[in-house]
Amino acid sequence: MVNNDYLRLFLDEAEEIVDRLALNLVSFEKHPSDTDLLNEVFRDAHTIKGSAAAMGFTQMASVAHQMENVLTVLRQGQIMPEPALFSALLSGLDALRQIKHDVYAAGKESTYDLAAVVASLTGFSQALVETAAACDIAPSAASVTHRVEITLRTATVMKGVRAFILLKRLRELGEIVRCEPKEQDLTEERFEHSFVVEMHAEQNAGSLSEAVGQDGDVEDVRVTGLAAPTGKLRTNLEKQATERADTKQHSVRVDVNKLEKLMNLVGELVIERNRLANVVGNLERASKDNQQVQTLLGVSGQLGRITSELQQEIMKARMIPIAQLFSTFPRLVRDLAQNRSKQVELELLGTETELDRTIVEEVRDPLIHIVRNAIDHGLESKEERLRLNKSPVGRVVLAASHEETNVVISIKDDGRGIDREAVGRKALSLGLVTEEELRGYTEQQVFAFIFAPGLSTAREVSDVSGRGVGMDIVRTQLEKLGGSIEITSELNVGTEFVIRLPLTLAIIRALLVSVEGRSFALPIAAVSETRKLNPQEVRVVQQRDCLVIREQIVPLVSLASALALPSAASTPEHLVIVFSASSKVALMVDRLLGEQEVVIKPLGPFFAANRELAGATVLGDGSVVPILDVKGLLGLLRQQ
Amino acid sequence: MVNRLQLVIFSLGDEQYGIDTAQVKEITRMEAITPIPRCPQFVEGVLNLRGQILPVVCLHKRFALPARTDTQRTRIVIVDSLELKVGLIVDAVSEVSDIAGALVTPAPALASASFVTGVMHHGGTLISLLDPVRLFSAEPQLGVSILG
Repeated sequence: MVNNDYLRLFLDEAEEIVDRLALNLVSFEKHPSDTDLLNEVFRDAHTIKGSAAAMGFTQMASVAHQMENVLTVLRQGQIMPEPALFSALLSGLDALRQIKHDVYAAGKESTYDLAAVVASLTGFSQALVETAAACDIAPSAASVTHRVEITLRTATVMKGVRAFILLKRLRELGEIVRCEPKEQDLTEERFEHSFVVEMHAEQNAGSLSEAVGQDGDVEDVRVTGLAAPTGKLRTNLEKQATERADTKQHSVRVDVNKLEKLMNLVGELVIERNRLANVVGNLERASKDNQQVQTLLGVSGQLGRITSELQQEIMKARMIPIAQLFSTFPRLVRDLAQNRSKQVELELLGTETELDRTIVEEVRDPLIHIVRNAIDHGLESKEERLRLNKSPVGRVVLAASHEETNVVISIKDDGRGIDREAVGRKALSLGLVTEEELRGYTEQQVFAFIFAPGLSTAREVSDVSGRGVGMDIVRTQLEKLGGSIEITSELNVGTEFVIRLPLTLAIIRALLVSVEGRSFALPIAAVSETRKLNPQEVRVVQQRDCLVIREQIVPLVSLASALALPSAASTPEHLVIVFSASSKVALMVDRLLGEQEVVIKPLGPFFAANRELAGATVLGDGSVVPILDVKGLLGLLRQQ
Repeated sequence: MVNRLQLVIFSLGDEQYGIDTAQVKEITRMEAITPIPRCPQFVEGVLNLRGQILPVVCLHKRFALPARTDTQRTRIVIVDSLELKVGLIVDAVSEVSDIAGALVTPAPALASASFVTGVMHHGGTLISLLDPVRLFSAEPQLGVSILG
């Protein structure tokens, strides 16, 4: 039985390494002369081999070992990098990912047919002369400065894992030149209780001894200093050491659920702070001159500021760099481009931009969809590009940035662009628009038809217009997240999609309205405008009340009747125009209570059937206000 | 069947009911309840319990008793178990008792008694033992979605 802490550590690390390998392999394919990159890829393959073996995941270790062999031959310059070699390495990586996935789900490997993967890898590593160095640690030019003798306690349960962790810790301090027994034997538990590591390190013996000695399973550690390295080597190693220090982040892993819980607690704190501010405000009005009340006012204000700051910080803790999401694309683009026989260059910009991890998960599919469309339909074939005097290599740029409280992701290609005429014709033929309306439409309005369900499922127009199917789903998904998407495009120059997303899903800006004496919150992201109701404006179309807003017919609905509230004699005076995908509705409400940031709390399974509700929030006075889900509400209206 | 029971005993109209204390998190006074549109009529709305939002059910309505009148003694019994988190509005909570050697007889086979797991004598009155999960498990519109 594998110790769970070790297993979790292993999986976290494996995930990190597999993601990094995916990125680095693709980028190495483009820059085959980048030896630093090759070294990093090699180190990662080596690390995952070692840790998988130490955990007893033999199939995983064996695939990683084969990959390592290929990389060794590559490092030795015995074979040349070629596409088939990268395909073999990537298929090895896929196998690692699959096994990691199974281990994550079941705690153990299942049985895999790895013959093909291994065969394609060994095909490249035949040139490998099996030397101790090749299958053990990376051959190193570094001279030995320290000899570290480590003895583990006799009671140590998983010696292999322990040795692996200690070696890893030593690697953070320098370069391991030799191990006795060999590293593979150590991680596979083929040793008694002691082993010797000879290494090159800039640190003094004391810090090496401390790094190893702090481990509870280490009985004894003895570090002997040897000769100092020569000048040239030293500067080289110093450079490496500082690079290592720069990239090493000071961080701890935190369970997402813990963060989630912290976030909830802070949400409650915000609510209580608002209540306190209310009470103190009332107190102050009642007894203005009371010194204690004045003090309380100060304390409450200070508490408010601290709470806001705390909330900000915890929100930041939930943020992850978009690099985690972008890292899947080099591989995806490579495979797609090969598949379509197109040459595509992908550029990733702003990868350090951070956003809420829940959003990262939700935005993955829409993004993949758009990028795939860009390569499938947007970019022309090599021949066509040459004919158009374009570079034979198509470009796709994924860029992320922050803009106020939004994250903006742009997907840009230099392909054929969207044919406005073709989109317009198709929209006409589907009856989405009249000829007269179409004439008055701006380019933006015409492009927006791409997101209309009927149009985006029409294949013939997709190929003509340079867009693929299913864009309506993309838009729906993004709107579910409180985001939006826009298109700009120029024929034969290219297309850009710009996605705007909120930084977090836990807090949204909402418009509070009241109907029949009850308050409701509407997400601002779904509100296009508010205005007073002018009864003269109301038209009747197909027995339903409607408004004509900027030449668009918008159904007029009372929010009270939509929600089946018991109606009293209230007269709705205000209109809130809400939208979801391409439908708009003007909701009649009694009063607009203003805009504010609200913390979304789930309503729970009792109200799972109420799809017109997104949740609820608690206001400063402690009262609960349901938050409406505009998409669900419009769905409800369609049924009525 | 003789059992040792720890019960929250409360009244609804003229009748006494008991719920296992293991399922009860706390008992609060009647508080402002926010009605939620389009839900079963016995669901009164939601309650803000220190920041957590909890559905609240009126047991008078659930048991089809005459409409309740709120008094100083009206309480909300907060049920918090793995399967169910809900507030139940009752007329009064009379006691929380540890009853050793309680004699529980199976519930009479009445249709309306399907929420009741058994009946026992205590302090000269009959107490119906309520299983809160059963209150909702037969609700088609809430359905199994409540569970889990």
